[in-house]
Amino acid sequence: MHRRHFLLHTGPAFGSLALGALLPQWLPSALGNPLAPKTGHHPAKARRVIFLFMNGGPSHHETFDYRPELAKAAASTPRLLAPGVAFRPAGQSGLMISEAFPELARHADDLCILNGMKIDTNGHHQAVVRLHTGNERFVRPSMGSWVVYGLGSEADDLPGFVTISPIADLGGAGNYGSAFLPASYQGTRIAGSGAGSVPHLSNARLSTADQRAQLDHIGRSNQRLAERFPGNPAFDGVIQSYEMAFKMQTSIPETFDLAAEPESVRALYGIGDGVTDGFGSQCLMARRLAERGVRFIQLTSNGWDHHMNVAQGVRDRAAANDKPIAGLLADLKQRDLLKDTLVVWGGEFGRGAHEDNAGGRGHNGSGFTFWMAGGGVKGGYVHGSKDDLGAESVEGILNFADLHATILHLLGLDHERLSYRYAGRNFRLTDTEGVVAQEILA
Amino acid sequence: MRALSCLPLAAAFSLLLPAGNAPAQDEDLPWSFRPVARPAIDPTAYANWARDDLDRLIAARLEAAGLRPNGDADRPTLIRRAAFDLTGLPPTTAELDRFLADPAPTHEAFARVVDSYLASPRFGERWARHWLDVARYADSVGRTWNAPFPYAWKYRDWVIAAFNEDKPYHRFVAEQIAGDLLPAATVEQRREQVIGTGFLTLGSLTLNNGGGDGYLLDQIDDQIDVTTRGFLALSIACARCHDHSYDPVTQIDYYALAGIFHSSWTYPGQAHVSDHTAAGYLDPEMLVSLPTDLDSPLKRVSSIPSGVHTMGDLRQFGGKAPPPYDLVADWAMGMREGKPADCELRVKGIAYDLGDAPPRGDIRIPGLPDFPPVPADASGRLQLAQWIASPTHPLTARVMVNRIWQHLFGRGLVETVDNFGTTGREPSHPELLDHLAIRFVEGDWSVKRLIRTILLSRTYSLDGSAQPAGMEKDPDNTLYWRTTPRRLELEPIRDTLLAVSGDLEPEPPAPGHLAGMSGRGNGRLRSELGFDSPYRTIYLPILRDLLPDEYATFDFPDPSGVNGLRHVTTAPPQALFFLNSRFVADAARRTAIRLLEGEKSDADRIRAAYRLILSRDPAAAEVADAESLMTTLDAAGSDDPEIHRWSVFIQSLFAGAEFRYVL
Repeated sequence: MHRRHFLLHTGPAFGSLALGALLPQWLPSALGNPLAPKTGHHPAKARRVIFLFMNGGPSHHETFDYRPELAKAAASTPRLLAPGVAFRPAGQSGLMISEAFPELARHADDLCILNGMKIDTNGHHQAVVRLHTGNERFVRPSMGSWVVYGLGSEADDLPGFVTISPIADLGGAGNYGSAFLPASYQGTRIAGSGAGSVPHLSNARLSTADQRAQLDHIGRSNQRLAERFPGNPAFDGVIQSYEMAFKMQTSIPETFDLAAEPESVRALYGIGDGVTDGFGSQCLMARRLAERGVRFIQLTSNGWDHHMNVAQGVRDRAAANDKPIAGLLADLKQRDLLKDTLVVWGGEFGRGAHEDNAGGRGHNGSGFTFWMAGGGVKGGYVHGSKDDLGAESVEGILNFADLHATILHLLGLDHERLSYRYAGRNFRLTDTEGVVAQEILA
Repeated sequence: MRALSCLPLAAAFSLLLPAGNAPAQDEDLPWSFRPVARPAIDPTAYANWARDDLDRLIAARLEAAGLRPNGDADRPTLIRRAAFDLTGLPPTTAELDRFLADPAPTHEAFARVVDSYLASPRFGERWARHWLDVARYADSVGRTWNAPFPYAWKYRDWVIAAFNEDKPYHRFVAEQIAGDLLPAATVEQRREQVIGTGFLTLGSLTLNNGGGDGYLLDQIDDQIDVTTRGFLALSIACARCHDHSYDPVTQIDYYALAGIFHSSWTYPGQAHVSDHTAAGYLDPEMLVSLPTDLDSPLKRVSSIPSGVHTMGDLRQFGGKAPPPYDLVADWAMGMREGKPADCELRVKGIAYDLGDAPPRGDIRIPGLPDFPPVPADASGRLQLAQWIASPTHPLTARVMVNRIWQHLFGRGLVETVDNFGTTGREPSHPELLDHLAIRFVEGDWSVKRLIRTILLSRTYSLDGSAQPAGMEKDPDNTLYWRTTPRRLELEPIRDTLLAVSGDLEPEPPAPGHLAGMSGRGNGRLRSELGFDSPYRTIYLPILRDLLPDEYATFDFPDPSGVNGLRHVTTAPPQALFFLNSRFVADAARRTAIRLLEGEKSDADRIRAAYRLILSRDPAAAEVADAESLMTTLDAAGSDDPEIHRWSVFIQSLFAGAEFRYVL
C-alpha cells in the first residue's frame, strides 16, 4: 500500500518549468509563424488547391461518366434507369461530357476525369467526413489543414485555408477543422456573400494606431497565458487569430471586392445572371484568394442528392455551376495560374444504376466520378472505369486515401511523410492507406 | 414521488452486479451493451490524495502510467471554474471576496461555494442549455418553410425547471417520452408532464415535401433518432433503410420502435401541406390543450380565438411586418396517444415499398433488456419510457453521467458522447464510468448530487499547468493528471459580457417574441429578442438557419440534430468579434464607466477590472502593462478620453484568451 502514496504532494509543481525547449511542436510561436511557407518533400506541380465540393453525391451517369451500355440495358431491364442526359464528345481529346455542362465541355482538354472512385459506405455523414478528413470514426484534421500544416501559406494577410459557405451538418466544422493539429491550420469559414458577410471587419471607434496598441496588449496577455499553461495549442491559436484578424480588416474587403473586377471578367463567371450569380461570385472569390496566396480554398455546391428525377436535378445544378466553374478555369488559365492550381471537383459518392424514386437514383459508393484540372494532372484524360452499368469501379480504382495521397503528391508532399506526432504515435491524412495515381500525373 | 409508482424504477439494484464480479463478456456486442458492473475499490487507497472513490479510480490509472498529478488550483481559479461550470457566469466580486476570505480549509469553503451555485436559478439556465443541444431544441422548424414554434419555449422552460428542481433523471427521461401517460398528483404536475413530451415534437421537417406518408415517416425518424441517440447514444435511425452496418440493430428493431410513434399523435403546432386548413402551415389545432383537471382525456386544441395565431392570420397585415404571435396559456407542443397500429417495414427505406409490420416494441437488440410488453390498446410510449428509464438498462445512466463528465472536464469518458455503438470510441476509464453510473442510479438519479460529487473531487480541483512527464506520456491529458483549459461556449461568453457591464437582466423575458413566417420581406420569420437584448442567451429564440453570425463564430451546434458534443474552433472571426463588434465595445464602455465611478486610483481600477472580468488579482507586470497601454492611446476624436482609454483596456481584457477559457 505504501507505494501508492506516491501521489502525495511530495514533488514540486512542474508548471513553471520551461517546456518550450522540450516540446517545440506544441509551441508554434517558438518556431516563428506556423503559417510561414515551407518547402515540401519533392518539387511541386501545384502550389494551391481549389476544391469544388458537390454535396449530396452527384450522379456520374448524368455528368462525366458516359455509359451507353446502361441505356441499352435499361431498355430491357426493369428498375434500371437509363442516363437522363445525353453526352457529347468535346475538345481535341473527344472526352465525353454530359450536355448539362456545355461551358465546361469547352475545357475538356484540361480535365482529368477519374472514373474509378470508390468508397465502402453509402451514408452521407460517413462519406462526407471521410472525404474531408480521411476518417469518419474519429475526429481528425481536415485535408486543408494538413496541406497548410505541410506547406504553410503564401499569404500573410489571409488565412491559409478558406472555406466558403461550408455545410453546417454532416461533420460541420470538423470538415475544415484542425483536430489535434495547431489551431492555426484550421479553415476559416466565409459566407458566400463575401466580405459583407464577414462580421465585425471594421472599427469606427478606434484609430488604427490605438487598435494596434490594443492588439499588442492583447498579444502580451495571451503570450503570458500560453507560458503559464504550456501544451495548449489553442492559446497559440488565439494569438495567431488576432494577428490574422488585424490584417484581415483590410485584406478581406479588398479580396472580396468583386466590383473591382472588370465587367468582362464578372460576365465570364456568370455574375449578374440570377441562376449563376451565387456560385459565380464564389468562383471569382476563389480565384482572388488563389492569386493572393491562399493555399487551400474550398467551395461547396449543395443539392446533389437526387433521389428523385436525377436528370432534371443535375440539369438544374449544372445550370447554376457550369458557367461559373468554366469561367474559373478560363480565368485561371488566362492568368497563367491554372498550371500550378489544382482544381478538384466531386462529391462524397455517386449514384446507382437503378431507379430509386420517380426517376431518381440512390447513393452509390462503389463507383463514382471526380475530375481534376490544372496543377500537374493530364488534361483530356480519363483514368479508371466502372463496370458496364457504371455501378462499380473496376479499373484505376481510387478511394479517398488515394485521392488525398495524389493531391498531396501534386503539392510536393509525400503522404507517408506528412505526419504529426500526437499522443504517442504519428498520424497521417491517409493513415495506413493511400497510393498515388501515377497515371494521371502530367 | 408518488407518481413514480407506475414505473418499475425502484427495481432492485441486485440486478446490478456485485463488486468485483465482472460479467461474462460477449465479444460480439458493443462494450456499452454489457451490464454495468460495480468496480472493486479499496476505500483506503490513496488516502492522502483521494477525496472520493472517483479519485481512487483516476489515481490507479495515473499510477499505472507512472504519472503524478498536479497540485490543486488556487482559490480564484477554483471559484471561477465552479461558477462557469454551474451557472455559466463568472463569480461576482462579492462571491470571490467571500471565498478568498473564508478561513475554513479550501475544500470546506469550496463546498459552500458549490452548494450555493447548485441552489441558484442560474444553474438550471446553464445545464438546460447542455440538454437543449441534445434535444435539437429550436423555435422554428427550419428547412423549406421554416415555420415558427410559438410554444417551444414551454419545453425549454420545462428543461430549465427540471434541472433547477433536480428532477430525478429517470423521471426526466420518462416525462419527455410519455409524460402525457404518467399519473400525476396535481393538475399542475399533469400539465408539466405533457409539456415534457414537447421533446418529441421539435424535429426539423420539410412541411411541403411530396405526398404519401413521407412526412410522417420523417417525423417518426426524427423521434427515433432524438430518443435513441439522446438517451442511449445509439444510432438506431441508421436502420431505417437497412440493417445497421456496425451495431447489432436491425431494420425490424427500427420499425418496432417506429410503430410506437406511429401509434401516437405528434403536435408541433404545424401542419403538413397535405393537411392544411385556413391556418396553413402554422396551425394551433396541431397543438395540445393542456388539461385543467386530473382525469379527462388529453385533447388537442379545437377552437382558435381571434388574434395572431395562424399563417392565415398573417394575411391581414398585407406586406407589413406582423406583430408577434399571441399566446394562449393552455396551448402547448406535445404528444397524445393515437390509433394503435404497427408500422410496416419499408424495404430500403422507400416509403411505398412495404414489408411486414413488426409488433410495436418487439426490439431484440442483443444484450439490451427485454422490452416491456405493449398492450394492444397502447402506443407503447409508456413502455419505451420504462425500458429506457430503467436502472438495469446498460446505456441510460452511462450515457448521462458521461454527458455530465464531459461538461465538467471538456471531454467525455467516452469521447463520442452521442455514440456508444461500435463506431464510437471506447471509454478511457470504463470502471470509472460504471462506478459513476451506479452511484447516479443509487443516488436517486440526482443530477445535482452527481455534479456535486464531481466538483468536490480531487480530480476536479487540479491545477492546469504543464509538467514534462505528463506532456511526454499523456499530452492529451486522457488520464487527468491536470485540468485541461476549456473554451467557454457562446452562451457564457455573451452572458458574461452582459453581466460584468451591469447590463444583464437576470429574470427571463416574458414569452412571445416570434413573428412572421418563413421567406423574405417584411413578413418573414423573425425574433424580437436579438443578440443585443439584455437576457441570458438561453432565452433568445433559436431560429433554424437564421441564427446571428456570432453563433457560428463560437461553434453553436446545428440545432436540427442531436449534438451533445460542441466543436471548439479558434479562428480570426472570434478575434474580430472581440476587437470590432458593437456588442463588445458597448460592454467595455459600460464596464469602464462602472469602474471609473467606483474606484479612485488607477491601480485600484485595474485591480477591480481584473477581479470583475478574470476573477483574479493582476500581477505587477500586468498592472504596469495596463498603465502603459492607456498612456500610449491617443484617444483621438473621442468625446471623453478617459472613458475611451479605460474602455480600450477593458476590451483588451475581454479579448484575451483567458476571458474565454476556464482554466
